[in-house]
Amino acid sequence: MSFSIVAGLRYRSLDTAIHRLDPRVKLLISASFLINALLFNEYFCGMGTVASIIVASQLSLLSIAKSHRSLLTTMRGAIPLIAIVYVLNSLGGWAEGIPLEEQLYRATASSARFLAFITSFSLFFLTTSPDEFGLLLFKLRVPYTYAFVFVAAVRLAPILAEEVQDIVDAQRSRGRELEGRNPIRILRGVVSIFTPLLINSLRRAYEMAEALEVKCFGASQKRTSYRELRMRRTDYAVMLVTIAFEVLVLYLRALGVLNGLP
Amino acid sequence: MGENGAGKTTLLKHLNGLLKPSRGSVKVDSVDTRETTTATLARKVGLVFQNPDSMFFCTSVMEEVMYGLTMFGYSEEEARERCREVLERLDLWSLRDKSPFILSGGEKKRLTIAVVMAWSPKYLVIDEPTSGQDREGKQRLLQTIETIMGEGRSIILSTHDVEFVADLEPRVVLMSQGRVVAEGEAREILTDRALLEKASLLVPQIPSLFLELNRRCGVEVEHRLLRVEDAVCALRREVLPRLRGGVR
Repeated sequence: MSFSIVAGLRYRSLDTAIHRLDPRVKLLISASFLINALLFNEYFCGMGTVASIIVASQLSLLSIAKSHRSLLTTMRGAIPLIAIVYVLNSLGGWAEGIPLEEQLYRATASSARFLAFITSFSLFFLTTSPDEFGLLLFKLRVPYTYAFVFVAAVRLAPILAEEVQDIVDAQRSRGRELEGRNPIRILRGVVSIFTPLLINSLRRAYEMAEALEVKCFGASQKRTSYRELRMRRTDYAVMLVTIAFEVLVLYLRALGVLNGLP
Repeated sequence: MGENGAGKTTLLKHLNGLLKPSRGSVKVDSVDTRETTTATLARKVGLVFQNPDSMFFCTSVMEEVMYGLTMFGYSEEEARERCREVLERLDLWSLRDKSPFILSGGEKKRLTIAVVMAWSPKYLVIDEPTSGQDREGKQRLLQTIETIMGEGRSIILSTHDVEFVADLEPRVVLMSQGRVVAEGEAREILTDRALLEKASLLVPQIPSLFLELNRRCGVEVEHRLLRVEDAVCALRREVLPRLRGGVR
């Protein structure tokens, strides 16, 4: 079982300029990436160009955060999906009867855009710890109970992946064939994982609820926080640059400056 | 045997191919584990996980045991027969309709062993068999292991329970920080204080007693003993007469 596609979303604890940025700023940057990917949605209006720039800038920002390898792993894991996007787009173009070069261009641009979508939030997820994420939600006035649910879910994702691996290992050790090349046999094997995974997850949820009660979850209405998010000067500066950049992009888009570009 | 993180579990997971070596090779009866699947190897190498919870996925104790048996193609009748036999042997028959997850820690551990013993693999590999077991559980485990050894099958245990191993007197492989640091008879290895300290293990009580006697009373008796009966003999024959005889 491989989970390489989500590798690009798993937080790694490092100390770099990007990791130190306030999560609100990182959320803004990632959101701006996503908006731009959404905005340039027409062929020959800069769709391929913008998407490629987004992916390239994600990679360079993450190389500052020393996490570009994780993103590359995600991208590698996404190859089958990208291939599907590519093939579907080529087929679509072929059905419409447009020339071959344009078909290929469309397929390439759509694949780049797809890649831009799936990578747009990796800057945020790769460099923001679940705790910071919780603080962020708290700052955004999400009630603590809900914020906690969300953070717990994020934090449990790797544990769940481990759980899947355990169940797979347990079944393999008892003679269920989950390796090899027979796809039908493997698919049947995968289905057999779901029930135990569900049961184990519910059990884990109960355990966690008990642990929370032991630690007095919800004992007082007014909850204080050990750590609070505070914007520093750098954070404000980066935020301003991001906003200015986004305004510029919106303006360029409105003027149609990129029209005619691939 | 070896300290936490010495690599015992990693090594054991190589034995049925759950992990494949990135360098070198692992061969089970001259079959390279990289060239076959775990499901095939499991018929021969039964691996009992350290953590029972990560081994269960069925709704009852009975089904849990039946799972491997049906996977390996036993007929319904024979599978039931074997299931009953192994559950009775490990004193779990009365719990057969319970969910494996509501069992006590010791019962869960015994069930993991029952699950694998059911199809009588040639090699039984048990990761930390004694963790969470009370005296009775250990005793039962000891008996089961001795019976299996009597049947001419091999058992490989990973543990840091020195007293448990002392009773079995097996061949011991000592690991530390991912490497094998010593290998030999239990009598040699479990009585070597320096070696055990290297792997962060305690010296079993009996050799410990003799080492202390030698140090404090200068009796210089053979300290490489693991069983109570041997210790009693040695005390009677060599230590007591000398102490009575006025040797300091």
